[in-house]
Amino acid sequence: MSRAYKISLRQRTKHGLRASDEVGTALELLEILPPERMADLLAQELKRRGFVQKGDKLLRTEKGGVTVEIDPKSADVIVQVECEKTVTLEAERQTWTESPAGSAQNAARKAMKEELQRDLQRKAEQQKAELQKRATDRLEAQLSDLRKELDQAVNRVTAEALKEKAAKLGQIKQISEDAQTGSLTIILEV
Amino acid sequence: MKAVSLFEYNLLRVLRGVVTQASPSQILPMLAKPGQRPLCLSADAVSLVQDILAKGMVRWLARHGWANDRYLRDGVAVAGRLWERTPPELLGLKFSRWTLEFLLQLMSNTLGSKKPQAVELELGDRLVFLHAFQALRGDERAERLQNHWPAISSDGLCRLFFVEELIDAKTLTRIDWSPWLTEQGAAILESMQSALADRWEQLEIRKQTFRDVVKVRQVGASQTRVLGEFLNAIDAVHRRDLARCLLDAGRRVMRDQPAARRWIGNLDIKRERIADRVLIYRDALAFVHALERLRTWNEEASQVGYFDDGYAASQLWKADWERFDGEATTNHAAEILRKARPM
Repeated sequence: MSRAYKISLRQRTKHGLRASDEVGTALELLEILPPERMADLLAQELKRRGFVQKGDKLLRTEKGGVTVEIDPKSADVIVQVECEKTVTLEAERQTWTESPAGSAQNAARKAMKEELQRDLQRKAEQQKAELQKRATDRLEAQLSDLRKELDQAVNRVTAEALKEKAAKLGQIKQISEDAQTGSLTIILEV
Repeated sequence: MKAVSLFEYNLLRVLRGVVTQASPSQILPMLAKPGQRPLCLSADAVSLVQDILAKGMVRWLARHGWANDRYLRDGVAVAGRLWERTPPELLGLKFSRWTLEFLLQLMSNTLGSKKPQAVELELGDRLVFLHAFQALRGDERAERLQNHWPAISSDGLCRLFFVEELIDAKTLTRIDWSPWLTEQGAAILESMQSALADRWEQLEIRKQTFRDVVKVRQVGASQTRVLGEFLNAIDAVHRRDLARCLLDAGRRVMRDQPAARRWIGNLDIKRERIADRVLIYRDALAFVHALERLRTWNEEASQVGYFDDGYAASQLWKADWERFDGEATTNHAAEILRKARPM
């Protein structure tokens, strides 16, 4: 009577997973004043909104670890997010052979080990995909509000630049701003 | 009376079908059973080939070049039909031995056994290749043609007509625009303006049905490259009037004020990173992006004064701009691109 011998293999691995996402754009600033002055006004406005100077750039960290980096000289904006996670993955396989030792058993073990590794690889990729989705969702959640805020910042910088320009052209008699519509009226005596 | 062999008879029928743009159902059956290539063609067969090319190509050019229009000649706008703007003796097409060689290889299923160098090809040869690819488009033989006859992928006019089909593989094929920027080549390009606009409009309509992100990216990359190089090439020889096809196609595509979702609405990109979505949108909207360059050209044309060089060319450009609603077209294109940005 032949016997069946059970081979059981278990493998555990630790993976450091990383996911990131980013999007870039450029603020559309009109050249009302020379570029350096426009850059200064933009930097001042951004600092007023919580951006911090880091080298040539201005940085702010949003909810969910999203960071916004703006270069006031070029008006380039980069919004990025990074996520990291360490996961421990386990997989187990079992099979049966007809002999307790020998080449058939070795071959069975080798095949099982390869299957286990593929299994673990699949699980790691799945985890990475979930982490990536989380990173992208976090970034996406911030974009809409950030776009509105940056539009407002650009409008304010434009208004300040117009006031400065107007002051150079003549004497400002009256300035009225409509916060709701964002319109600005400057009456000037030249 | 002329006598030809069976192989020559089939070759002549295929050539006639290719040149007269017969339906593929008339041409493909003759290619289905390739024959043994003869050592040479008979004098009668060669004479008939010449006759088909002479009549067929002239008829094709006349059909496309009959419209009364204005194009630049030495920086000045000249009006008339194709053969009125350019003297007929300068429009005569030359064909090298490579037309016959191409047909022999096609009929004997030995494409690529000998390949021409670009300098050996005449404009007539290039037009035959274009017609052949057009006739086989959609069939597996077109792919064989693309893979084994590099003269097609490297030809500028073929790349303009077959943006979707002639996708670059991993290595980029150098595109040769120079034959179409000679006096004769540019005259042929003038007569192709409406046909090119038709082709690009149809492609933008077809892109609305694309669901495969990989295909969208490939076609978009091809469009970006081909249209970009084409505009660079005609700009370098001061022939911006040859971009009329793009103005025309742009007007047709933007006529009903489409939204960006027309190009990206069918794509499943929820699982893509935002960084990758930006690239996918860029490729999907490659045609719309190309229209931005035309706005820049219009701004430049508006600044050319009466006594400046290029005044006549700038006036022709401005007339085309108005004729094809350039302002409305490019405004709407800019709006689409603005709304497609993730932020």
